[in-house]
Amino acid sequence: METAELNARLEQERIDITLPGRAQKAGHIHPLTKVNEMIEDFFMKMGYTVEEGPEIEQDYFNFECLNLPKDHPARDMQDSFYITENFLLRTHTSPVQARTMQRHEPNSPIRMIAPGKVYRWDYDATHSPVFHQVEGLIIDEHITFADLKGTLESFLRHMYGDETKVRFRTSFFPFTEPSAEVDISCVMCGGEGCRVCSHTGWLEILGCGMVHPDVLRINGYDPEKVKGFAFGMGVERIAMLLYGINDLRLFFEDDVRFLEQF
Amino acid sequence: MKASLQWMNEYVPVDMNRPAQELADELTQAGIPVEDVIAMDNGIKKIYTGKIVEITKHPDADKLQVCQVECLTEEGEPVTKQIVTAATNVAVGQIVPVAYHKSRLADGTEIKKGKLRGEVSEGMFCSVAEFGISSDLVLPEEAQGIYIFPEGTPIGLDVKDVLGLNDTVYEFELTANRADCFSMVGLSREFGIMTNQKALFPVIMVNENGESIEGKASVSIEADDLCTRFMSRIVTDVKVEPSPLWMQNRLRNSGIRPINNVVDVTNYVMLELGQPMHAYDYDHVKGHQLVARRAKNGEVLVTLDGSERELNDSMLIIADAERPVGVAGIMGGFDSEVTNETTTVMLEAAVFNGPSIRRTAKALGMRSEASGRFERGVNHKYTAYAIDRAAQLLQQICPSCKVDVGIIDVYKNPVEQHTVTFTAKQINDYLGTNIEKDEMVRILTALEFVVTEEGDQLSALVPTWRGDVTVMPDIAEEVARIYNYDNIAPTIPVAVLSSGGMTPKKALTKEVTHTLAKLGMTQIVTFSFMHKDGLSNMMLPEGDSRYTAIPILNPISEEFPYMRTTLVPAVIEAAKRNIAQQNKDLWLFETANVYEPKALPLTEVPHERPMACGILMGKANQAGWNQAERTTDFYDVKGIVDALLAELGVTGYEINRSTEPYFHPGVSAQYVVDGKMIAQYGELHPQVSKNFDLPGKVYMFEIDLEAVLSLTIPPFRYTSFSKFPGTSRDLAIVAPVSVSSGEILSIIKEHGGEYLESASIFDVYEGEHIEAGYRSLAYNLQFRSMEGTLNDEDIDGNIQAIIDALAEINCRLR
Repeated sequence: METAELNARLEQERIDITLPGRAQKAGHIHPLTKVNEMIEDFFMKMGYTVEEGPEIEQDYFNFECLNLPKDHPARDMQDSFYITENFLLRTHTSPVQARTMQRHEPNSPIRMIAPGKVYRWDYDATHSPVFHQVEGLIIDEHITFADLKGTLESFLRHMYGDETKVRFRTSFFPFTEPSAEVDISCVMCGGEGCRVCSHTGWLEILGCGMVHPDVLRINGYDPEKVKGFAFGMGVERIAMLLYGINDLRLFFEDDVRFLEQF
Repeated sequence: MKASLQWMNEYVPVDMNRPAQELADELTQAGIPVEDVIAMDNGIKKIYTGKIVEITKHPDADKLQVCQVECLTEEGEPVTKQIVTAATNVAVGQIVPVAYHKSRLADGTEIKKGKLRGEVSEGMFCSVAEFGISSDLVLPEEAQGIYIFPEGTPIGLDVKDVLGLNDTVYEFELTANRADCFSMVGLSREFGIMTNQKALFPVIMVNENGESIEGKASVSIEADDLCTRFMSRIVTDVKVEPSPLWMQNRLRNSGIRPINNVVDVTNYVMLELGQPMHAYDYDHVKGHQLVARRAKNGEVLVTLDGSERELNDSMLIIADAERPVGVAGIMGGFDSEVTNETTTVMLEAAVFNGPSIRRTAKALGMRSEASGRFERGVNHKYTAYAIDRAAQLLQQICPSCKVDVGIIDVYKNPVEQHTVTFTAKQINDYLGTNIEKDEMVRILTALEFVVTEEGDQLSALVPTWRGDVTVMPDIAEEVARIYNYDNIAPTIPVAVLSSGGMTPKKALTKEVTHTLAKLGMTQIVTFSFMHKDGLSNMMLPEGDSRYTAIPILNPISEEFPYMRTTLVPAVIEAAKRNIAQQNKDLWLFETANVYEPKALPLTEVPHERPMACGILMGKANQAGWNQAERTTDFYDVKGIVDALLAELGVTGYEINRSTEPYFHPGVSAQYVVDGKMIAQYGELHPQVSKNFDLPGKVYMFEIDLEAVLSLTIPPFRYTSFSKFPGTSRDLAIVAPVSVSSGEILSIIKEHGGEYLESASIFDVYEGEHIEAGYRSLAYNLQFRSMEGTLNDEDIDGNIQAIIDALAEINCRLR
């Protein structure tokens, strides 16, 4: 009898469970922050520290400490915003490498990454004057180019999945030797070839190399005793490929219809 | 750099049956990046040379002519076809390109025979545009009307063959270190290595069949820091005319416009050997002397593009006895250029200082193929090859000309070849590989390093064109790139263990970001530049420190000339962009640096202060079927700031009214700890809202993360709580409106006694039943003891003390 009564009551109390739940105010973290944190988390677990440096930087740290003396043609690759002859908006996060080395006891081991804003005088559909990079540097006695490959391969598989293929191509940066450009198999077509990868099956994702002996020397390290590798990547690029974002400008337009998806 | 595969094939066999993309990929992998593979034929089909043998006027159209054209059938039989044309530059006897029925043009058009105003036309004559050749790559007269082939061109030839369009061109995006690859010779070497062949270059030989150069001309270098070698030859009896088509085709396929035989030879040699050259009309070089010297300030030169250039003493020029005749390495002068009247040519092949050329070219806004090569560095040894190669080619394409006996060469400090020493173990330790020593020697030898062994020690004599190879890691790269990076097995670093971590600033920024997001705020990212009117729109008074902003010498636009000293204007602009898109309910925030110079102009790196800034407007919640919507107000922004500070462990701040000019003075607050402001928030001043063209009420906050970082926040500790039940009292207090709820709360706390656990306001009422100038505030007080259950008597005394104290400020129980 009691059971029947209870059942009747339960039946009567039945509600429409398809009505929406009470809305909670939801905030969102910018995709660039999300990607930065994914990168930071990976490298912090590998024992890297996250370093910072000034955005308004001395020419000395931005260029000279990185083997880019005045009039080096490679400076042209990076059209700079100047404040004075000696100060500029940093064109890459690489000066943090130099600052970190100079702060350390000479030849002591380093494992660092440096995320941050960087600036180049270029503004169109595919270039933003303000964008974000993450720089990485490891220095120790027995670092090799093969280690660079291993580290970046596992990083890129962490970001894009275990199936991702990674390719290293010979390149040139004044601060590394040997240098490489790194490609991953296209995230859209898996390497078959599509519009996103210009039908090559590959997407350029970052630049890297063994730290040039001159860079070690300029920053107080002895290339006879230690070696290192360095890498640099554009966070916008990483995020675009991760989330399938096809327009760089979305990151800085701050349209909530974009931001609320993250 | 563009390179024609047909031309390349002359130095090293190129397998034309292999997909062009495959070899391009291999070159890219080895550090010679191919950006684009271009098929020069642009899909054109069945366009042949034909000879116009008769032209008559069209009977029914003034602007049309009817031409009889002699051509060949596909079987090679002569046939005459009728073509009706509107072209005005046709004449009997000309050899012209003819497209017939079913021919295809570069734009994809398929030609059909038909009738034009009643006259049969079996096709059309073509202009260069119809082959997809850019008008920049032909002479202006050739760009207009029908293209006319040189006299004597046979009929029935495929124009693809005649104009070199049966070709594939690689467009390279070369890195700054590979100056050697800015030449066909250099690229051929890399082609050779990739295909296991050795590139062979033409034998350079000059038939010196003229008079002696002795006493006819002189060359001197007055700025030997800017010019390190200068060579010259004199060629007489030159007949200036168009070059043969094969040379024109190669230049065009390399992206250079053919001009005349002399200029074309200098450009051809530049493309072939990487040494830029210049040719002067000998008769217009005053005193027949060339001097490489710095320009005098204010000296003027009309360059061969017809522009007048004002020079200064940072620029290297070439001058004759009286005046400048060229901006060294960049562009020659108008007065001494080779023209159709020129009969004697003075050739220049020189090496100029790269950085100086780069600066000058930039200053004059005239970067060229030549200046680009000097900037990257020119091989001194090839200067000598180039001067002879140019003379040889001139003789070849202009048989009348004679080359003077002798050569002028000013070369004070010959560049020595250098050697890099290393061991195979060093290379393997650097790369993390086990490449055999013999394999390394094989690779380097193929790259034309001369390797000698002495025990384990290897010495590599670096070829003159690879000046970029100076240290062991450069050798490691050469070995690795030919061995192929992909063949190096990945490993994980063996290194001292370390624990990762981040700076306190970074950790705080991360916590702030995540907390604000949890509180319903959405993160934005804006540019670091500040609008010129941003601060005045905020109504900041003159002298406010935020006006001390760092100006950018070359801002992205005149509207944004500064590095920002506050996030406020940019955050407002982000909200406005959303409003323009009909996104009106906005709770946005940014965490970023502001830039505070210690002195202007900058003498040291400025202070970069991390800030958080938020903007709130529109609806505070989403209206739902069971929930009414609510508009954002002051207490939303206050709630966010309070919750954030609580999460960060910041307590004990003073709450003051804000003095910030951009806030509504009555609806804003600031929090101060030890005299340092850590946060401020409130409603935007109505005038500021108007200045920024914002609709409705807008709330903002700013938190100085650096100030928060400087606080000593005690480590978190747990507080024990009572096991006994408590007792609760509600007090409804009528207070003058001038008394704040915070004042009443502090009196309650002061007089509440040891058992007062908490006090909170739960109602504020103004209106009916309350006299004007007063309002009612209702508080709930919780009392509890750690020792036992409380009785009313335990707290009655405290309640009375509160009431008494409140009476002193004109408050009473309701």
